[in-house]
Amino acid sequence: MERHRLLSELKKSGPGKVGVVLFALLITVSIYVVFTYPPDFGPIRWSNPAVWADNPKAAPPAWIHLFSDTRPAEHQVFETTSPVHAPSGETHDLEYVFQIPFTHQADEPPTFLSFALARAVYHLRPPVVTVLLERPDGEEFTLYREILRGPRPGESPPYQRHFTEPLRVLLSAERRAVEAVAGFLKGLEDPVPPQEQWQRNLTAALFGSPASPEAFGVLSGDYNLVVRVMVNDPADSVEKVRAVVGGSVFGALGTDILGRDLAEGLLFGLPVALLIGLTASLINTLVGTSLGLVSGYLGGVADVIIQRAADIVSNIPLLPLLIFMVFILGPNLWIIILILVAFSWPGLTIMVRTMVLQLRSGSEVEAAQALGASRTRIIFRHIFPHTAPFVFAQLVFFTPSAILAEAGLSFLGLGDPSIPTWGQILEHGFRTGAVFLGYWWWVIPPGLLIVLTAITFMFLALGMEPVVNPRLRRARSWRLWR
Amino acid sequence: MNSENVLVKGESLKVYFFVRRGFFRSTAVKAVDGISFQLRRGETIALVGESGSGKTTLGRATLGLIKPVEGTVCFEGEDISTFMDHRIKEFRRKAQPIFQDPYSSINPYMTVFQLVEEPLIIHKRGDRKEREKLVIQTLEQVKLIPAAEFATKYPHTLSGGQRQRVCIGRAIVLEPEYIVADEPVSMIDASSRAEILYLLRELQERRNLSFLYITHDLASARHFSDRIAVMYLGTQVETGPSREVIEHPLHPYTRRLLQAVPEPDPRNRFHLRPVIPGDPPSAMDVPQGCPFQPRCPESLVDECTMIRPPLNEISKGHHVACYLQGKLPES
Amino acid sequence: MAFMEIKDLHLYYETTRGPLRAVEGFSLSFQEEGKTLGIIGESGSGKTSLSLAIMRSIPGNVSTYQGSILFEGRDLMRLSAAEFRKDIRWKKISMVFQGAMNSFNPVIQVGRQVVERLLSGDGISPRKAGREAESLLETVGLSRDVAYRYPHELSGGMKQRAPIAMALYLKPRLIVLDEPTSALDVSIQAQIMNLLKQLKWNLGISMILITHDIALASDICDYIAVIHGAKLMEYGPAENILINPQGPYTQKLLASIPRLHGDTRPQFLSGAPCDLVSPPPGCRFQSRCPSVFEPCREKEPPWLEVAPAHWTGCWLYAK
Repeated sequence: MERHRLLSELKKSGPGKVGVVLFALLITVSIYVVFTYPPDFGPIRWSNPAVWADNPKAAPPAWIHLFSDTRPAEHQVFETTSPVHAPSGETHDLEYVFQIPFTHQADEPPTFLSFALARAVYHLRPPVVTVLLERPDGEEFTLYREILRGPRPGESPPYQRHFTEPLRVLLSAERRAVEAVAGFLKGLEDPVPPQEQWQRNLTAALFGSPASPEAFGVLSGDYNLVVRVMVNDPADSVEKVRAVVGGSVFGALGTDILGRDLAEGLLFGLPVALLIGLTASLINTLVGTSLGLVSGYLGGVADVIIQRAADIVSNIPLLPLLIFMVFILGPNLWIIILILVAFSWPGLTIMVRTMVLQLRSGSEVEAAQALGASRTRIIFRHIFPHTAPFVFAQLVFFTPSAILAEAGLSFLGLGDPSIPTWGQILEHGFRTGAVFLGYWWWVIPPGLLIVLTAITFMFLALGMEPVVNPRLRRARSWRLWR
Repeated sequence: MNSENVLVKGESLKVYFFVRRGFFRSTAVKAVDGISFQLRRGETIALVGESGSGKTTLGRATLGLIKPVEGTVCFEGEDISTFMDHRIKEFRRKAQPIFQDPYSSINPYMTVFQLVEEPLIIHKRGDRKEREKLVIQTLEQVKLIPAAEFATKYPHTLSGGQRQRVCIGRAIVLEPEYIVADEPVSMIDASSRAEILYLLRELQERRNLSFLYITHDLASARHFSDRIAVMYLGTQVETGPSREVIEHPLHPYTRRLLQAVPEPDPRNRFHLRPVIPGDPPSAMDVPQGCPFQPRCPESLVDECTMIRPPLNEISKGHHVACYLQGKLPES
Repeated sequence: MAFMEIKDLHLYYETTRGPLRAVEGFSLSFQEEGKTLGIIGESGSGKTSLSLAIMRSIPGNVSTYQGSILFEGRDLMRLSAAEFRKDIRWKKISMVFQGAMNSFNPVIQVGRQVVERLLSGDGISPRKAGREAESLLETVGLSRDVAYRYPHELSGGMKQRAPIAMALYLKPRLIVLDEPTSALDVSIQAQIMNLLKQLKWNLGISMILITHDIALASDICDYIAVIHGAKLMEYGPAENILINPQGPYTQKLLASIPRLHGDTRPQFLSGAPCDLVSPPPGCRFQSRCPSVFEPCREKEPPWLEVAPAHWTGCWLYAK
């Protein structure tokens, strides 16, 4: 009955409605994250520099061009495992062809162009890898041609190459690419920029045509990066090819100074925040309520001990102590949650005790006592139900403070390093000087997310207030009608 | 008086509460200050008095819910303070309270069925089937009919009278012998009060129950009790057969109290009702001598202020604690 | 012209099951000034809603509020909220709410709380207001120093006098008292009723006393209106109603009062007042009435004058 009333009351009030909608949204996103992200996201992705090596560093989000005149090149990463052409088994058809078509639409050339190849196997002689760039104007540049490393002494076929570390080539700095551009420019009739100028910035030449004797104009359109691998045995294979078109903007929320995709990290931070908030709140409510019930109902020595402990604990300044404890016990998420609980139960205990004291002397409890009901029965059937709506509202109310406390700790550099949280992302941004360098996309979104989550719970708590404090209920007249 | 027949007996009961006054001093609130009574099987004693007279406290003490500082309560001839474990549980089954406020004395989160079933669960009576049968029977006895329909309801859907009947059902389901009804009808509409009182009367006759009926309503005490004990500041000032006390009150306090009771007479509005001057003094400082003396219009100055008057039998079963011994001018 | 005339007053609350008819078609004329009208009904009969309707203190969930209340030649229902507040509330009609004694702020002196009401009226100086508060408390039989005490230092009877003092301040012509003595001991109740009688005799104030206790009403009321299930059942001079009631409901109500003297046992009314969301057709008392017959179940009873100025709504008296 009570639960039903809680929900209907929530649906009635404006803040309650907003709270429910926001909460549903947070939960949906969290479920998505839990099911799609690896459980050890922290160590294997977020804190692993190799994952982010190809990303631009401190790149703003891709959508900022909406607010500026020039359109920056977007960072694009492509990967393919399926060649458009594979050896058919006939003697002369011994070539793998991978194609990576991409579009370049910007007012500037990409910052770089790179390609990588992984997991190649050969049996007789090493294969030859050729990389070509087909441009929208029909030109074709050969950017790279090399033979994979031959058999080492003592090695026997099949020879495996680039299994642990892919072959990574920065195409826009390759000798062959320079030659190809030089050859292309020589064939033009118009005066072209001198080699010293474009050699340092090869992408301008690769993704453009000379617009004047001094500079290149950007050539927008559909490009195609072709990777050909010439093998000598039909059994030879190449598994994966990857291309990166370097840009100055990245994804939905940009990257940090290490090239990490902030959107990915912030998304992961959501279930973590909810976990911290709800777990800390749940444990806190459990501890606080049970101590309050015991203290209020049993009275005597138990009451004195619990109340004095509550007085002491609630007067200890939490933050310095938290810092100290984390320093001693190590930055572990569970320890942080436990410390939060250890110092926040007194408030709830004192309030529950007050309610229990009032209920204990009430006639309902007296009637139960006169029936010979046991203490446990009185506490659970005749006292707890009356405090339940209040306790439940406290559960919701405490959640944002736990989230904020964790964010604060992380911001001070005391977060659990194995689990990325919003506070940690913020902290890293601050430590790197994101604010002074103008990396707003690194600072504002985590801040907003913390606030949004806190506000969601605040709205829920506001919506529940009429249940906890019936005097606020809109239909006031029922009291007159009793 | 046949002592075999006495169910509950209080002997010079004193219940004091200690209230801190200032830092070191504490004062005794003498809620019940030396009361003796005997309640026979099948009898109802009405305990009448203003709020603060200690009548509720006395009721609670007879149920063993408060420990008296002095004196004993005997139930079936045995001192209830000596009851341990299973004896106390047996006593709890036999002695039940009904409270004034039917809104706050039952758990609003339980259905009527659960409420009436709870005593049976506590006392491990029968299995589910038997309990169900008993609960339905009890609901029928307290006139919550159709019982099966009422059983599924929650208290907030019931009227005050119906709730009080749930409370009564809870109290009688264990077939007790002694019931303390603490102002059972004062929160109920005047028009339905008699119904509840008749119900209690009927149950009493059927089961030979003994009632301690605590009330401030003298008119209902007259009709629904065998004897009336008038309390003032923790002491008994007058006790006797109901009719006798109402028709021939001996104590000045009882007289004034009776005059304050309104009867539906249109001539009432043309004159002021005689009232007891002043407010009842607090039980924290009970005056020396007769507790009613400061407000008493007939007080004989010297005797009344010195020593508390003893309870004397004036006529058969009619006792009064007053130096005037009932020699008051007829009003 | 009648002192106050209520015509066809309706007050419905909004509930999930539909409108709850708390006051339905209530018409009554309160003829003489300086008299007291008692409105008697059980809980759930709509008596508190009626008082709120008269005072226009309407809670937020009211769906219908109509009719007319003629007072001093003006229709109170037609006045704007501001006019009503400025001219009528507290000035002409004041009210003592049920449980008003418990509505005091425990940490503010009683006098100041009385003064607050005064200050909100018109801009008088705090010093003058303080003096006024003292003399007001005196008119209700409290000593002047009560003004400087805190609510917990007052006994129940003293606390109940303070709201009456507040209601008196602006010298209203009418005071609406909603259960002014509920939860008080008989002796205190008698003191309060005596106070009200004195105010009635000495100041000539008209009163509407709302209560569930017909014996209490007999203490002061000159006219008595009995309501049941949101409808007026009987209305007339106190003598008629108390000695010679005509409606079966009033008869039953009187019989349910335990008499102090004599051996007549009280009777009782079984059942509860009818459901106000979906009331039965016909008479509202039919399900509890001992003399119910055919027409009661079909049509609403007529409003008949059974004796001079004594009206009842019952089919028994229809020709």
